[in-house]
Amino acid sequence: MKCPRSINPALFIINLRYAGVLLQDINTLLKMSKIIKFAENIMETGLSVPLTDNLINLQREVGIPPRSVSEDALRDVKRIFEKSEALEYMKKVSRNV
Amino acid sequence: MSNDRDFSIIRETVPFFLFRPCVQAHPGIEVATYFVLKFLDIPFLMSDDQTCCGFPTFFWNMSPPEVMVSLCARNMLLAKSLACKAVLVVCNACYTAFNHALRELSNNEDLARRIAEIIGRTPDDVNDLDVDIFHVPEMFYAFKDEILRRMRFSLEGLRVAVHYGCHYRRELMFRKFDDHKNPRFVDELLSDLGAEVVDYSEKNLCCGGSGIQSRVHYELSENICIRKLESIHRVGADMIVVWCPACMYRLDICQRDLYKSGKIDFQIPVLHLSQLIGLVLGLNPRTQLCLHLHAISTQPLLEKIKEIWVKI
Repeated sequence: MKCPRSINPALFIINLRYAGVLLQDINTLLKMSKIIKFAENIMETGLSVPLTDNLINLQREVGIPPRSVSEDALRDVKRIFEKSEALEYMKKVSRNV
Repeated sequence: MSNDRDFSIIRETVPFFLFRPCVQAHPGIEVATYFVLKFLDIPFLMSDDQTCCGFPTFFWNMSPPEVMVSLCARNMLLAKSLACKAVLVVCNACYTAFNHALRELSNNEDLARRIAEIIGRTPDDVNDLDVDIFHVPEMFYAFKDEILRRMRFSLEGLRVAVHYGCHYRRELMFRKFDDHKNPRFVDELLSDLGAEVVDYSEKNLCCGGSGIQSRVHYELSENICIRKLESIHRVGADMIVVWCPACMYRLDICQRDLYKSGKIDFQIPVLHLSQLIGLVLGLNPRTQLCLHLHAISTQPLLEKIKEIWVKI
């Protein structure tokens, strides 16, 4: 599969491996590590942005079912990351940037 | 309007599986969508077995494509197991991820086999997902008659700037609900609800977020956001309406930061489409729409609406 591009050509979805060649400064590397964190979050919590107590309390307060991720879902997500060899890929990406 | 696809098919896919977004900087997005669906008696289900759609892993190239497609396939199979014919999303990224996964799985047999193996299902399960994906603007358009029938307040007197978002317009190329180069159906929906939808020169410009660009090229991203906001300010919009948590983050929270740093001298409230529809239906701005949790205060907008509503 090819990495798709957004409509605005000036803002194409960046390829981290390509970015690694162009952007060498330490700030960029730090920013990249923050981006990789999104994938790590999914692997660990099932969500790209982990839930906070504030959010759960607010949802409870207003009367909608508070958000949570089941044990079954977490088990499936771990299986997906393992079977697709995502960890090895992420290590490679980290090395390249 | 040049839509090749009939919106009415959306009505036939209830109950929806309401897909809850990860980005919760604006919890009102999920809360408002929940209460609007309830108010309109549109059947929907949610589940704790839902996970992220996986968009950041593939579109930001942090993991192999199989991760996002597997996560989407798993979530769609979950919807199907709950007897839902469609996944309803409130986020442009989720919309892109699901639609992209559906296209890939139907066009690439090898990938479908591989995904089936990864998620521990049979290839037939993955080939025959039979679940559609809809975004809230499409759903609201499909249920326009119900909204018009049950609306308590008109948007008359409000100048609204609509932001469709890059990822949404990109998917319109495939979904064909409207012309992706110049979509108008949400403008039409809001006009029918009484709003004066304003045209602005940078309507099709990105919000400046653009996935990881805002983190990697901060200044460029900020300048694009300023250009967009100034264009909206020039036409005197009272508010901006979006349907993507990431665009909302950019246009609301970053707008506040730009204002505080003196880079812009105006503040325009930003609402998710679900929140605006909720206002029209007369839902509680605080407990059902969470309008008090925005970075740019929505109070001046609510005051203006109150004046207009009193006049009506």
